[in-house]
Amino acid sequence: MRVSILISLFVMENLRKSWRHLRIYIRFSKIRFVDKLSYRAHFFLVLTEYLLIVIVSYFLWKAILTDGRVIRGYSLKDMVTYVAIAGVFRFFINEFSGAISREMGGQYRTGELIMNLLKPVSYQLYIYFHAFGGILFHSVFRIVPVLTLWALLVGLTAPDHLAIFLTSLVLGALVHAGIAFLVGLTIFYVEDNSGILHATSAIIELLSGTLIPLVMYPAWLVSTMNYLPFRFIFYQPMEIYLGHLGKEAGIAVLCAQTVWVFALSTAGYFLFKNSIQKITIQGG
Amino acid sequence: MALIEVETLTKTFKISKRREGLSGALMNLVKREYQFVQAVDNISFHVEQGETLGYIGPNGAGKSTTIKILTGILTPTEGRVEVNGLVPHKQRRQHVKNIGVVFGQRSQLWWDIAVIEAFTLLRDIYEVSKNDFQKQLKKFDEVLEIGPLLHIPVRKLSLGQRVRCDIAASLLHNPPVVFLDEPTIGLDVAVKSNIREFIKEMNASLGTTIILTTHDLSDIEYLCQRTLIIDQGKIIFDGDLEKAKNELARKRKIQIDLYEHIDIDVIREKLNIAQLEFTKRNDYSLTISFDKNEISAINIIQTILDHFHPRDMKIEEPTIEAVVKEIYSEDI
Repeated sequence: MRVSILISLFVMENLRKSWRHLRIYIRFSKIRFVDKLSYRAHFFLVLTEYLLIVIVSYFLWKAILTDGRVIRGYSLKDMVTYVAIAGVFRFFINEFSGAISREMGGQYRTGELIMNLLKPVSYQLYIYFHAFGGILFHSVFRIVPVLTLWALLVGLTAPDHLAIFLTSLVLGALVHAGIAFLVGLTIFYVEDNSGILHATSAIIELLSGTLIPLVMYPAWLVSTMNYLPFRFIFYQPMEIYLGHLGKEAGIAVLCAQTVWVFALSTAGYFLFKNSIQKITIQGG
Repeated sequence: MALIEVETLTKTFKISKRREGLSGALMNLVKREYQFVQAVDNISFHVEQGETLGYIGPNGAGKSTTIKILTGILTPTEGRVEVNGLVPHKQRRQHVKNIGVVFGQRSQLWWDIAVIEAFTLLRDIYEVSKNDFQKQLKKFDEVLEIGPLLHIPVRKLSLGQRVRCDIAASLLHNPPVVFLDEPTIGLDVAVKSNIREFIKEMNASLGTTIILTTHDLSDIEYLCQRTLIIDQGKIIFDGDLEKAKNELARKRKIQIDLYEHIDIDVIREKLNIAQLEFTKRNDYSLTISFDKNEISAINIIQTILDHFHPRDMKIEEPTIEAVVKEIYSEDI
């Protein structure tokens, strides 16, 4: 009896601590969220870019998938949903490469990195949560309204296994953040990593499935991608959404995603620890 | 055990050399040459709890590098560093909880948010209670006059305003060890003296250990019982600068203006002391230099008063700047 009270006290204490820590990181998210709100012109321009891409892909697939044709399991109805969500997902990709990879480079150059190293917070989590603030902004102000509009005007399939889909979307974002953090760390090794950032953005767009569903790629590429984390960012969550994967397969995806999140974040943690030893700050 | 222990600390930077011109730039693409710079070269020192240590040296001497190692940003190449029983670069997150850092040249605050928001964020990070936080804010407002700045985004502050907010931010959690790297840069005289008072008070009432680097030697004179001077990565002086002033700058000067024409030979004859140095400034004015430990200024003045008609006399004490200059030049 006494032991169980002690254990529960211990657990409570740790939960309280974790919550207090989490609250600090959530404030980093909030800062990014509020910051995003202040750029209005940018907001509408990006929205236009999105609509153009989605409308073009919509008509393209409408032309390809006439008369009830189905390519590798994708009907027109699937594709309409797929391109609409893939279109808004580009905001996420931009946000991660911007708020994580590019931001890390900027902080390295301006010395803001040092400022963050002087605070008793984890730099990796700070950077992650910073990006989550932007993700939340995009979800609330772009993705939800745009998809609602799309659903009313064009039509959108309702998701299968909503809970599994949402979980896999969150885990996908964490996989994405893990990759972006590793890419951002390249700034410690090269003087200008903008080329690397552009290349990875393109790779992520191609290999995460935001351009076309991955099954449409040649067989050798599809099998290669089974060993890479990129498909878990977008393609696998979408497969769950569209009901191409059953409940068991969906849960298997969640497990694989969790492994990748853990692996990438751990790699990021150790690589960062190693990288900051290379910092050379000149001036005095 | 001392609060800060530095043993045989060395930091070497590897810098890639740049060749000049276009052909040089192309060569750089193919083959890089590296240069090794020893920013800190085998230095050792201890700092006790409650000390206010001045840390000075010419530009590029290795001051900031040492501070950055002590704050855990840089990893030393060789040697041992411990602050409060922690190794800064290995136990960074625990370590920075115990320290406050002000780099006068770069901000410690998040660029995009208002000052008060940055403060409350720091309050949460350092787990300062709401009560203590309010007290601290009030205290900082009195000394640093930050009240009117609280709702301005950090990026819109002027340099002086920003430095004041930075100082407040870094001391919010009452850290036992404070590193101040050029904290009074760009500040006006009134704020500067406020900050000095504040630092002195903090050291006296809370026993805060303070490491101060600055180019303004009056800060050092006012605040520090002990001063380290570093040059080219090596410590060349460790002790009380006031004492050093007395020991090193023994040369004192008297400037004398007379009503009559000056004839140095006559004056020399009257004074009749061997180790005097005479410099004629013009026909009515001269400077006499002497070692103050061997010759008393009173003797000289008395003799002059007895035999000539002085219009004005001035004794020049060596300034702390002159002392430091002398230490630098002795080192070379």
